Amino acid sequence: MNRIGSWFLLSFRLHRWEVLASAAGVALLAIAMLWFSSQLRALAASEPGCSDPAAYVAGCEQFAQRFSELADWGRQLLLVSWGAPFGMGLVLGVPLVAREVEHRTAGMAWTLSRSRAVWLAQRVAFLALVLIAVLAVVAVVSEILASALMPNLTLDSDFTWYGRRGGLIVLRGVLSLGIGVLAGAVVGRLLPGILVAAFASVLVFSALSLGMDRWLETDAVLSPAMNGGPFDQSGGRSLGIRIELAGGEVVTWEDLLARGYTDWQEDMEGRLYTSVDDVGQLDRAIGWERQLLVPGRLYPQIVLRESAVAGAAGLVLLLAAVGVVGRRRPG
Amino acid sequence: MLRAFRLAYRMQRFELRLLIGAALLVAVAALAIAWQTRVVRDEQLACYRDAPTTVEGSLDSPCSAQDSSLVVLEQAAAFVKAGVVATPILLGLFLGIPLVAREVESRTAQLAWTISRSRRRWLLQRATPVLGTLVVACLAGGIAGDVLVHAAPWVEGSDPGFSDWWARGPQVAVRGIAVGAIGLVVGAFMGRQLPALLLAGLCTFALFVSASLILDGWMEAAAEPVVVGPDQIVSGKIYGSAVRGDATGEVISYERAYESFGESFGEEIDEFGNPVGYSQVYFMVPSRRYGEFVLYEAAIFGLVALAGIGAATQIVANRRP
Repeated sequence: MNRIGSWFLLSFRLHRWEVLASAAGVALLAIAMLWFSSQLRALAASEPGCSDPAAYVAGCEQFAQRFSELADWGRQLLLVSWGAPFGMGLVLGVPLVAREVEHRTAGMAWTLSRSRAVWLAQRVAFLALVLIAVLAVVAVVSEILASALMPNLTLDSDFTWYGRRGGLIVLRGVLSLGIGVLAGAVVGRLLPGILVAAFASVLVFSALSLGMDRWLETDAVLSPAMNGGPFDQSGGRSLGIRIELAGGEVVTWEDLLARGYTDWQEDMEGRLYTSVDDVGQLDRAIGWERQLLVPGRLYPQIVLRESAVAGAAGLVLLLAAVGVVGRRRPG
Repeated sequence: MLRAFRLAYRMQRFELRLLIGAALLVAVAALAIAWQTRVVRDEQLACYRDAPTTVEGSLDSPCSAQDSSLVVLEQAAAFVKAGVVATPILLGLFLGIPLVAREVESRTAQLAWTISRSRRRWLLQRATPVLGTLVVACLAGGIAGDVLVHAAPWVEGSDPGFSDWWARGPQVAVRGIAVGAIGLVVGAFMGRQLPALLLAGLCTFALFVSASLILDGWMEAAAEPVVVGPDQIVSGKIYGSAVRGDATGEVISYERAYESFGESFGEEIDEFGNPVGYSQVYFMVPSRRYGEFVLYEAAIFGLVALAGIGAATQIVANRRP
């Protein structure tokens, strides 16, 4: 057997349980998603007169009801696809170093290898391949299900179910793997490592989400708020409500309160007034209620950006794990 | 016994510190939020009592500071309740699984079992302190959750009924010991921690779903018709509604009423919105039966715990180390 074959076989034997559990979980998820997709498509094809299941069309009530019942299950599956990278990254990543240290086999493995960094790179490479392969299946199948759930949307330019479909799932998995490997290397015990990694994941992904939202604000545009005009239907992503003051300045509700505007009135078009008597006098309006919206056409760019950040952060954590493994005691 | 506690602490120091610390933090947070909710609610009531009459048409609240504080406290309470729900699951899995699985996986089980008088005795000495600590931590969370639910502004000294079922009460401790027993038996059977964590997680999920469905079925079967007066506050778990003829006392569903009396049914309504001559009836389990169903749930989880501990004892006595 050549070197790659023996590396593959050894890696598989070391992580058989985790790899098989991940593959089995993804296989079940993919089968369920494809089944629901086919059912939804068949249902939509059986009623060609009812083109949009989300819209009210006279005579299509029964179809919409049946579609909605099936779609509820589909949406639950998309939630699973959102959670898959976090769970799989930890299940595959934490045992990599932690189990060797806990079983006191790390000393022998590290001595036999050319260097600890090479040993870790060989192990991580196999798990990263497995992770990317299984999550790629989730990414593709979740897109298929999403398009069956929303046949009238152009999902390539729509933020609906952001992070529950598409390639972002794979890169989030890489980041989660990095967290798992690093936590396992630091703690050196399996179950405590999983606890620490789960807690760290919550912190890291919350920070990533907040940071990406701040970055997104640079791409966002002001659009009419819910009661100021037609609510956005173009697949954009809302970052919250802002107030556009008459002078052009954009502030939050908190800023407005801090400036002493504790009492205001709003008309049907979203204009804000400081007194109920001013309502309707356009020159007395202090500003407009707006929605900060990232246009749907930016969806591929934003996904690519977050994927790059998650992937880079994952690599940084894996490098940190190399540092930890290089210095720590093997047992 | 003290020696057993000391040994258990040394063997699972990290998990015990982290998990028991987190569980106690949840309990303390629940009590702090409950206390703060009561303080702010009192301030809010005092503020509304002293506030001037509002201008007609104005949507502004005279007590917006207290209103927004209560909203924030309610959001914090939701997080803490989720913590109470998760406490028995996390503690049970992460403390129950390694009891046997880690010894087998690290190949120290043979030594431990050889120097102990019997394997059953070894398991008893290892499991009792851990499961005992787990019960105390879960009980603290359950009691604090109960205090938190009773402090909610909408309860105001009345009975919260069946709301927040999973986030309060002493049954949290019974759930903890059941999940711990699942972790123990799966860990003993598989002898490896990570596969045991995955399988025990699935078993726990199945147990909670099954218990929820069984309890819901029992509650629906126990639902009784309760006539609801116009200014009466009802508390309990509602499964449906119907009407009762005031003259005959017969309880009939709305569907049957429309079938029997046609579209004319309900055309004339009294001042409370009920069809004239009829009163509204709820099919519900009244709040006073809350304790009874807590006992039913404790029985389900208690049986699982006993079966799990019994099976784990058998597995440890017979398995290869």
